[in-house]
Amino acid sequence: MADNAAIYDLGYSHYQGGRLAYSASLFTLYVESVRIAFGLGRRFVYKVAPLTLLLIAVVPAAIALGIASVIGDEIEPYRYDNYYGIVALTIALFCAVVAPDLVGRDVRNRTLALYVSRGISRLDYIAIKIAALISATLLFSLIPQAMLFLGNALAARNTFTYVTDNIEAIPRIIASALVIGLLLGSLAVAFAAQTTNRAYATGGFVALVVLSTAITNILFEAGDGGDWVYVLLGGVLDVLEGSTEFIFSSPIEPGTDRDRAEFERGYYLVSLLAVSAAAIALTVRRYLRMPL
Amino acid sequence: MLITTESLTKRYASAVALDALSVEIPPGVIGLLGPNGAGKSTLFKILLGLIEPTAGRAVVLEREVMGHHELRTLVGYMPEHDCFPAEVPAATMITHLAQISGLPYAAARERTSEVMRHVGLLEERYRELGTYSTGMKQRAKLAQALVHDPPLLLLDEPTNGLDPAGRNEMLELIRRTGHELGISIVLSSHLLDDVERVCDYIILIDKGRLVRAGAMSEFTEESQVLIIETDGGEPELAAALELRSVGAQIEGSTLLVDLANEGVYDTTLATVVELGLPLIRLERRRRSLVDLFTAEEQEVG
Repeated sequence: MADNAAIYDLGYSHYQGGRLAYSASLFTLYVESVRIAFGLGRRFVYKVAPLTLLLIAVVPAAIALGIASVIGDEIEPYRYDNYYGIVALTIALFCAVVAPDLVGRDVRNRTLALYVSRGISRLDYIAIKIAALISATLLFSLIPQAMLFLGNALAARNTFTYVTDNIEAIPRIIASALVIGLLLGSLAVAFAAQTTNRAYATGGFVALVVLSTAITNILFEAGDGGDWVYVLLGGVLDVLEGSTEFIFSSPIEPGTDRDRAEFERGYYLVSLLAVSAAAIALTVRRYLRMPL
Repeated sequence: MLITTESLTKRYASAVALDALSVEIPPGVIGLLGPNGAGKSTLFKILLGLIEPTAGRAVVLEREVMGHHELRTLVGYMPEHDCFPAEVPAATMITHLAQISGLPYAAARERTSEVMRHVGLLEERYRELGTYSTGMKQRAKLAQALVHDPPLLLLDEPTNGLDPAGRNEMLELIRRTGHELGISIVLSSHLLDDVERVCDYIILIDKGRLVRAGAMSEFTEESQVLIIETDGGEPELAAALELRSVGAQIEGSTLLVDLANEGVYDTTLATVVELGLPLIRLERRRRSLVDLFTAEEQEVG
């Protein structure tokens, strides 16, 4: 006790400084959530999975860049519209691993109480968490795309012409990156918000991505045409690729189920937005009812 | 008044958590006392504006409702349950929460060190919260409630899960925080001893209703008793005292006589002599709040 008194006597002073606006608190929450997603400010072990996945997402673009610089021509194997096939899986795994860190703490540790008692509304809180995860996925989709674009531009005979010719690809790159992050991020958060068990959250989400695609493909084959073709709108990977193809208005890869289904490709994007909205609604509902 | 509630009622589908609770709470260190399920946590959540009362109203620091701004500046809340993520270093979490309360980053860091020193965790501040003992976690929870320097702290069962030594430390910490830093504190507890040791004012609630509220001194005045041991004659003596309108309860092999006024001494002695009982012990003692509360509860029940 004597020690304590001595320590106390060094002086506790009240806070005299200013306080920032509510929006600054929300920004703090956003930044911290993005940091959590990449394990920043945590032990090294929390950085391993996100950074490894990020590396995996970037490597194909880096290789393509290398090849392009050697052969001095545009990168052929990877285009802006099909690169997502490669990174979609790494984004899905990233969301699967990170979503339980972002929202699981509220379910497991009831951390939400510390924010709500500081005046952060539940709706703002969960909206920011979802936004943070989606923006974290943008690194996965935009870094490799930026590398492809730069590589192509530098390898092209005339860099300036390449940039002006392909400038309309940029909004499409960003739009498709956003919708991919939206679907995978909102689904992963919806799973993580329902359970205290990390393995269930991660496993459930991965199972949904893989099984929905497998099952819809089986149904597609079994249905053999007719209205059955619309089952493809229920497969996560088909929806992702279909939406990307729609955004880039690029031809459907020949021979795929999507090619044979032959329906309006905008439906994939509609399905993507509808599923994301449902997942977000489920998460919001959970958060509005979460006990403190 | 620090807090005023008027007919504050909270009904859930299956239960009534608060039943027309009206109480005026002065500034200071306030003990909110009641058994589990008495409505303590519900009252806190209403005061914080986290849940809406079914009826009635609550005024905290002269404000009807707690909006964003009020919560961020006026109140620090320590939840009852464990609320920290395990993998985050304590200082990181508390700095972050200070920023959530509106402090700029540099100030948040400075305040974090300040409050962690206050709660005695300065040396351990970079450890992950998951590695903290229960006592350290409770102190870290107090630190996060204090970090934005609010004039009012609501502490929900701050001694929960602590061993006797940890409880002593926590109570001492609360006492210092309240009395030396001039911060008003409402602490809830189901342990009377906690409240008795640190609070200036006590509110007893049970089943969502106010049993009693008053300054600690009132309770101690009333808790004066006379302990009498008469080698088996206690029931007889109690009955005789009852006739002379002196309250007494048997406790084990002793009789506790309410010392309402000095005259009780004479009355009691006279009665003992009258009954011819062997007087083994006659002692003046302060009755503990535990007894008092049990008595109140019986009356209410």
